[in-house]
Amino acid sequence: MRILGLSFDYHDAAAALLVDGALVVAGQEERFTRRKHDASLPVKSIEFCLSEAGLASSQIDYVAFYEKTALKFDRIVRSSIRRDRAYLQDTLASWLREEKFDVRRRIADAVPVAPSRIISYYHHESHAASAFFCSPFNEATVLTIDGVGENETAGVSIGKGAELKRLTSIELPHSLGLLYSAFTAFLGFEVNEGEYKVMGMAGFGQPRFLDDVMRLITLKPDGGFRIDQTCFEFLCPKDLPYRQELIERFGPARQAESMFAVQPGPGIDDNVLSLSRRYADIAASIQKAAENVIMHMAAKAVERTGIRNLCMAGGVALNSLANGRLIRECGYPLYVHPAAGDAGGAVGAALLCHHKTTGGARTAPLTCAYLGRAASEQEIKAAIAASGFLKVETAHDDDALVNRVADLLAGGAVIGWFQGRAEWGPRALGCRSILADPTRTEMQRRVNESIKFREPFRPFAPVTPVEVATSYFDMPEVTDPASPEYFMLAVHPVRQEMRHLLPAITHADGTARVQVVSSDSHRLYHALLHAFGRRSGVPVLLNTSFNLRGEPIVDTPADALKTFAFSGLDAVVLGRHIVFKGLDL
Amino acid sequence: MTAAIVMPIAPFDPERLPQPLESVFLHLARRNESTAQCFATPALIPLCQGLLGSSTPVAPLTFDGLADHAEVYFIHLGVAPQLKAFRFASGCRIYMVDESGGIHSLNRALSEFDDPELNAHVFNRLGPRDAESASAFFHFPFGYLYRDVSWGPINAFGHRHEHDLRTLADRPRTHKVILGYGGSAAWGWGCLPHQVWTGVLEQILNARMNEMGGDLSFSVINLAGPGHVIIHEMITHMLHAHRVNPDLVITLDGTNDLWNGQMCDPFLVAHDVVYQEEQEQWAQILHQSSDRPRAYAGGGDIKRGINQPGVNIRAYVARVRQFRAMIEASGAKFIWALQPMLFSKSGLHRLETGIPTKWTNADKEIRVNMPLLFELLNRELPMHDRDVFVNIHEAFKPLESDAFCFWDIVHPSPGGHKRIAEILAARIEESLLPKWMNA
Repeated sequence: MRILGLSFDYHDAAAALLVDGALVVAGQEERFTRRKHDASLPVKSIEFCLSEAGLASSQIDYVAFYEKTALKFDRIVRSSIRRDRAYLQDTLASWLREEKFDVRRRIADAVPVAPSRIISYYHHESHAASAFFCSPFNEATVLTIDGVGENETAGVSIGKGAELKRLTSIELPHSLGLLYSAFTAFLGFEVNEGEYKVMGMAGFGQPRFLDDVMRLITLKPDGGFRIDQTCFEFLCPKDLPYRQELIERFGPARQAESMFAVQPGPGIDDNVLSLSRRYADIAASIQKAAENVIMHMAAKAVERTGIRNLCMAGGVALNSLANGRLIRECGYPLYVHPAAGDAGGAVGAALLCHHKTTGGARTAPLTCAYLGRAASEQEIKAAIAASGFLKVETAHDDDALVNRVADLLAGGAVIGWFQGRAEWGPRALGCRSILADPTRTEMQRRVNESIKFREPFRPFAPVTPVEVATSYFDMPEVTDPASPEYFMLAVHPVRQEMRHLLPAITHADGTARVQVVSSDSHRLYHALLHAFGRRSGVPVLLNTSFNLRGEPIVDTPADALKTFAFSGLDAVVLGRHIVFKGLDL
Repeated sequence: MTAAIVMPIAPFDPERLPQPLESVFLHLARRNESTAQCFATPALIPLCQGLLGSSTPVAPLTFDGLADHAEVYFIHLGVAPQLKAFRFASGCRIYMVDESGGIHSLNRALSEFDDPELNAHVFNRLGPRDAESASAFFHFPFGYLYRDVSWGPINAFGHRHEHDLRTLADRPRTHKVILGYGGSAAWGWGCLPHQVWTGVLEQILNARMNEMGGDLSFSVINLAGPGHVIIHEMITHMLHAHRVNPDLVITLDGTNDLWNGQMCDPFLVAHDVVYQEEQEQWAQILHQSSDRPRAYAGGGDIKRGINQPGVNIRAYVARVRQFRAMIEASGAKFIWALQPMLFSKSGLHRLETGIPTKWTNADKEIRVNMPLLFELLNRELPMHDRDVFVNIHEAFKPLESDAFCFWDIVHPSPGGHKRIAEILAARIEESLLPKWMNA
């Protein structure tokens, strides 16, 4: 049975292919089109999935779509018809223009299956399935939280075996995801893109506005919540999802791209410092409030189901600070889908189809996020030959490669690391990564400003072998290959005594979004970490996604070489080839 | 019948009016027409009168008030007037004048009245006559058919100079001839003849020579062409400058090569051949092959770079070196100026702030890559190329929001051209003038 799962038309379009219940390939459209968060019908992702599996489109049995379009439009109509006719008209015009009403026909144009074999599932049902059916648990409490699906913004389900049952749901306008996004916009970042930056900024602040934020939220005894709408416009957002009332409560919104600094320095005056500290405190407050709501929801959901295994998906499940607290403070065995946002809905829909529609057996846990495109040796060589770079070294085996790269890293080089199949989800996990020495104090600024051209305050994540992780990070031992730390989905404190050794990955608040690697999960990466450890004494590397600011993560060798050319990277490793700077002019 | 000048019909930034007004008065002066009647909507009369001064009376604009004029110039600073509402004299020539002073005739086929050299040679005679196409149709393949008289006269070959190059062969040793090449920015898109960098440079050098009491004189001749990549510059040089024996050649370029070089056929770019990417469309038209994809077609509706940055830069540098070798072999000096773009500046002037939003998503990646390409070029350029390299992009970096330098992301305003000319004049004065004076 071949089931193609699709998500598109909002953001992060993706395709995923299930063959006899096994997730064999998945791809996000942005990686192919190079348009960040590309929401269009994922034609290239579909082509990739089919070609990777060696299938013709006619061999697909079912197509599963991740949400119910008509219900979504119904919600837009109901919420806007009395409030804002112009918003409704604009939305209607864009839906007509983009043929959003005609999802089935558009899918059928791309994949020739009978209309009866194109099945739509509820948005949060897709999220829940992506979490539970990919988890290692036979039974679990499933929590889904995002901006909004059709009507739902969050929900609790219970998963047992091949069954997934919805228990409760929360509907618009009460949305934790939209609340977080509203503060993202307030803090001068782009909605659906800048939420990570809010998390990063939060580390510089103290949650002194927590009470003010929590006054906007009512936690309900059943685990739900309500959000005071006075300050927000979630139903018919135009330019901004917040109202003047938010500014009256929290002061002027931060201007996009304005300077942010919490320490004195050249060109930083008292006004910048004072404003930055206030915005950092607001970021810390909304972050802490979001954590409080998530912890509350999780606790009540677990209480209701009596099952401590917790699965999470939806964009809010990418809040790795909250995930870390769920692991450390609540001790829940936690599984978070690696592509917890809308892209993961493609996997969830396919899994729903497998379990609900075709009655397939329970699928195996997803312990490997390397579901994307790989590059052949021939493709790598051709890309290098076409790159114009002169100096290329080729290692004769993997040992030689990791030793050479470890030497470079220990010498202070910043390396683009391109190996094997691309990662599924927003995190670079050692296949499309930028790696650097985290023991060097200057490395955070260097990688932010000279390599990725992004804001200097953004933190970087560490990666370390799973067997030594607890020596450096204050976290429970990771024993399950599906644990969030394998997918860089949880933040933990850096051990106090190790912080001085790891200045480039220790955030202002002493935490880090750690990724662990085992020799089973990524043998070469694991070996590189140990090789670096032998040189530096610390088997930890700084790992960040291989892209420039505003770009999707690189997908092909050509993408990697282009990013290498434009950035301040010292070398790029493609398979066993190491390309150095220096054009053949 | 006098000409009528209709002021902008909606409130406007007073700083934007002088350029189109100067352009209109120059346009009239070239035909020895010195009088014009200005009109403005009643609400804007005080503003316009204040800007024009009491010697140029401004009359209230009415729907019938333009009917006695043989020529009408509408100054368009954002809000287009509804022409159908006005009554015009039979045969009236109507022009729309944009903020850069570009004068565009609206209601008739292009003729020698607007473009005296329009029929000078057969390839022009065979060209289009509708005003829109004639003033900006895509050039094939050497660029010399492009004709645009919006900012002043051009010669039979579309260049912005009035010299007969054949007469320069036997000039005195003290008459130094400098040829300027490049694309539309170097050609002076958006600038009146005296505002273009070549004209300003000539003025600066001659003034400097007067100050110094030297006997040298300078002619700086603009041989740039809109859309030109450096291969076009070389071809133009071969076609037009073979008798001139210039003393110095300056290329002011980079944008067209590196912009198009992202999208051109990788096979050709690997052979250092970069062309105006639109020329692939000409091949499709000539051969009726539009069913076959163009080189960048794989990118869909988004123009995506299909060539690696290093290869793109290599092609550009290789051709610069070729041009340099060609020029130096003839005994002339060579300056390679990397042109500035809007992104070169640290801050945007208030008249520049709306520019980035005017560019469509379709060009986004190509555009976003440009500053990265400029930086990569500067980083990687070997020392032996740097003796002739003038990085004007770099020199524009300190410019902030108080400097109005660009009409759009690539075309300098008069202020931008003046800065370019000053930078080049300083380089010439430092490295060439002493040798020329002592020769």
